[in-house]
Amino acid sequence: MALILAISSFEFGYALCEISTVPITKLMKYYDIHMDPGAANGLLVGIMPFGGIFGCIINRLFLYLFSRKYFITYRRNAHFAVASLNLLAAALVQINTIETIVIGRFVLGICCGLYTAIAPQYIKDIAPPALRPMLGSFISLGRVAGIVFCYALGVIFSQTGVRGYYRIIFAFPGGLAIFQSFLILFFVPDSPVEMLEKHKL
Amino acid sequence: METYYVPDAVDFVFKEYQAEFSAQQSSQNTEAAKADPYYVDPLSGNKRRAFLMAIYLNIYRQFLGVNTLVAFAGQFVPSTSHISPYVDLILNSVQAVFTIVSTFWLGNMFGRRPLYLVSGVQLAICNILIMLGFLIKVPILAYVFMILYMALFGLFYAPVSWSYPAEIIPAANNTFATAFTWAALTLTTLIPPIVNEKVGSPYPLFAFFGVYTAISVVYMYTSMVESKGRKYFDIIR
Repeated sequence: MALILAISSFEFGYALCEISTVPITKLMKYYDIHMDPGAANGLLVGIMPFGGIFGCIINRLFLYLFSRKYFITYRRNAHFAVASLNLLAAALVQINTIETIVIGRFVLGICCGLYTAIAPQYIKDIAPPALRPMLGSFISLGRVAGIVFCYALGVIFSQTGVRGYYRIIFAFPGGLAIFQSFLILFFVPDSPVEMLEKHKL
Repeated sequence: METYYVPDAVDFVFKEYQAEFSAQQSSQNTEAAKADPYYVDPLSGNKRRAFLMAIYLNIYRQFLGVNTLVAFAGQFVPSTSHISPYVDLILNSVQAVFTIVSTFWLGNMFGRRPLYLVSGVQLAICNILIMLGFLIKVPILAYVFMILYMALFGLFYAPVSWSYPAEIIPAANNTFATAFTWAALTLTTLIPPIVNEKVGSPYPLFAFFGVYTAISVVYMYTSMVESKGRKYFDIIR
């Protein structure tokens, strides 16, 4: 279960690095960006974590407005909603304008913010104290696996000269989100704390 | 993995949380607590200290400088260098190997507090030496300590990075605290490429990360409580 949840942080690591796998000058050309390369690079990478702030706030608002009990009752539906947002983000960055890549990365950040706020808490809920250090580390493990995978894809594609490989790299998080949603649907049950709150225990 | 490491004794876990949940419900009598059984007022006593510590650690996670290295290390190496296309992959592969080691071994051997303090000292030194490498234009010094930084980060800091804040505060507050890590990450990804281009070298960034990390070690030494093997209510007490 912790491994399945680590896919969330895999996506976070992947999303953080996907821009850096393509030379910024090429990206500026593909997306018709006319600004200082340093500023463009900072904007395209930094807009994703900026969306993450809103992901956390949205998560907190749900908890506040509907109570944790209500939100958790629809947790699986919520995962599918986040996966749909992820698909939207992946689709937006396929359109070659600066507006769509910035909005797409921002939406991707919202998804990552939602995931990273939930996953460590769920692992804490399911793991007895003796296993918490190891299972908690899976979040870091997932993150670094995502980073390495993303850079490996970038090196392989750029060395083999695949044309427009940035499209494949940018589309990957959408597919990953759908894959994780199905894994969560079938393999990840409610945590003990959630079941207590839903009075199932 | 699931066969060997995921607890199958669901009843055992349930009993533990049943006790914790009952204790929490009986300890709170406010209107907010009655409306939401898992509500915890973040602004009282040790709960406030834990909440502020969680916020601080979420910011610290990014101001260590790791994600700046993760996202931009390849750009800090001159593009004329024959290793430049592979720098990011090499650095992060080093981090991955040591994170695997720490996940299954080191993270279980030591408490959270020692890991935070030891990693803080090591990463502060690495940041300062990376800064020196770029400042005095001895790139090999910077590269060596970038690799060492990633290894030490994976080995000592990664096991506690996300788990400790989630252990010392309840879920609703952790969501709020995590927003600070994203805010800090926004700054550490937005500003570095601009500084690197304007100054022509990333040494001011690593100077900041080094000083910030060193100051944080002092704060953590004086304020951090151990959470290993303890439940939320024990930590708060």
